[in-house]
Amino acid sequence: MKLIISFMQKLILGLFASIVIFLGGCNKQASVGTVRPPSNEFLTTVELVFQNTSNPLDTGRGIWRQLDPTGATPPDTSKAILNLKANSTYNVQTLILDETKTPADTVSIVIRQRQNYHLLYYQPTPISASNLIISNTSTDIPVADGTVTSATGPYLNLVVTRTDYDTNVPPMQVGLDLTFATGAASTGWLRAVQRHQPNVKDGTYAPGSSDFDVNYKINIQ
Amino acid sequence: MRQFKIFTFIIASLYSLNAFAQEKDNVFFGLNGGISMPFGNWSQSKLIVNSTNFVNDPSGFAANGSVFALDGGWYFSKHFAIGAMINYASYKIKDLGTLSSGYQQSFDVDSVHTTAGSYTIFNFLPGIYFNYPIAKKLSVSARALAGITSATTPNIAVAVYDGGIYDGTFEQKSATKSAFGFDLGAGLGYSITKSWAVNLRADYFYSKPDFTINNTLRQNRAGRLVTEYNQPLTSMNYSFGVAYILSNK
Repeated sequence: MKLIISFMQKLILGLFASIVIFLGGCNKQASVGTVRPPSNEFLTTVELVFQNTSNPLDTGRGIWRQLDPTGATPPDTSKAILNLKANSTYNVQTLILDETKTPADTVSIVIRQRQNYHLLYYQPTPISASNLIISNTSTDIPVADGTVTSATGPYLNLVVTRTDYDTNVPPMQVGLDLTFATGAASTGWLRAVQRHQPNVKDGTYAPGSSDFDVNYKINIQ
Repeated sequence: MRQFKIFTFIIASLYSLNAFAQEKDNVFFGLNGGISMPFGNWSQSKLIVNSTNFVNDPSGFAANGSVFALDGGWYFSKHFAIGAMINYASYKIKDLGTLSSGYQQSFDVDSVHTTAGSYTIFNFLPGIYFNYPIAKKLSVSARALAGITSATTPNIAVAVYDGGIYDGTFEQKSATKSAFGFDLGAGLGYSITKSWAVNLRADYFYSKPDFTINNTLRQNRAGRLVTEYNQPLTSMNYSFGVAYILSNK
């Protein structure tokens, strides 16, 4: 009988030891990485569709197209041109397409759904350093991210303003809907960049990465 | 430090019970360990994908866990005793890939890396014990216990990567809450000697702490965001253990 009791006492001690080991091991964390599955979703075309607010017949679109997802073939920029009237205001929509599909897939619908972490920038150039405004409501791109200011001009007389907002709290601008305000006749370039800022969108350019970075020739006549 | 406190509490309780046992007749104490199987929303692991807003989903992602219990009591009649149980259970997160995939798809990013701790539950449950011999060495037992539950949710950290850029790590912080809990159990006991027995138990456990959960760096409205978790924590616990019975009869 004493042997049995001794055995039971050892069993109790063993169970206690198990508890201690168990409790000591409880803080181990589980960890997993999830990678985006391969897909055939591309972004081939960025269109700026514009309409003069005081003349509905004054419409047009500039089209930047890159159908080669590898980027080996240069993009087609032959239609990436916007001819705008001087001293006018335009409503502009940015249309993003995947033209590898038939019919073309309108990616900007998805971007609109994901607007809470996307932010589009539009940088007219040439621009003077004094006119380059870096703020949460400006579409200007910081010098550190590629904007080159000009001390002498002639400058492109174009002001771009975002008019759409996301559903963050407080709301932040998105940039699929815009207004262009033109000044005196001038020519230059408009750089359009879509920033993908997953959970880091704060109204500034820096967080995240670029989904596209394209350029349009601008003629203000 | 937490483990040390629990261990100290267990030892102190055991010592107290032993001292009590030396003074009273028909006293028992036991030690059990086994598996705890959560169910209900707490154990659900739903894929949450939402790119337009936050989703406060009741899925708890609790996996099967381990449970250890120490209990003791005093038979005030032939079959009924008053007693108490302290137990500790731990549940890791299950289907972490599903949880992680929800964040990856909600933010449409190249990858996320998700790290999660465990749920822990610590109970102090006094109540009534019942024991009835059905053979010379075999008895059935039951208990109804109710008391205090202290539960802790896991810390979940999600690191986001896209376009070759690290986009930061957001966290669902661990939260602790105490609430009422109860345990209804039944079991079989087999006497090895006059003082020692082994037993098998099945217990239903319920508690419903209303956790308030802090989240850090959730800047944009997308994906799963749990700010309050007010779901029943229910489980079936299956355990094996030993009991020591002190009786002068």
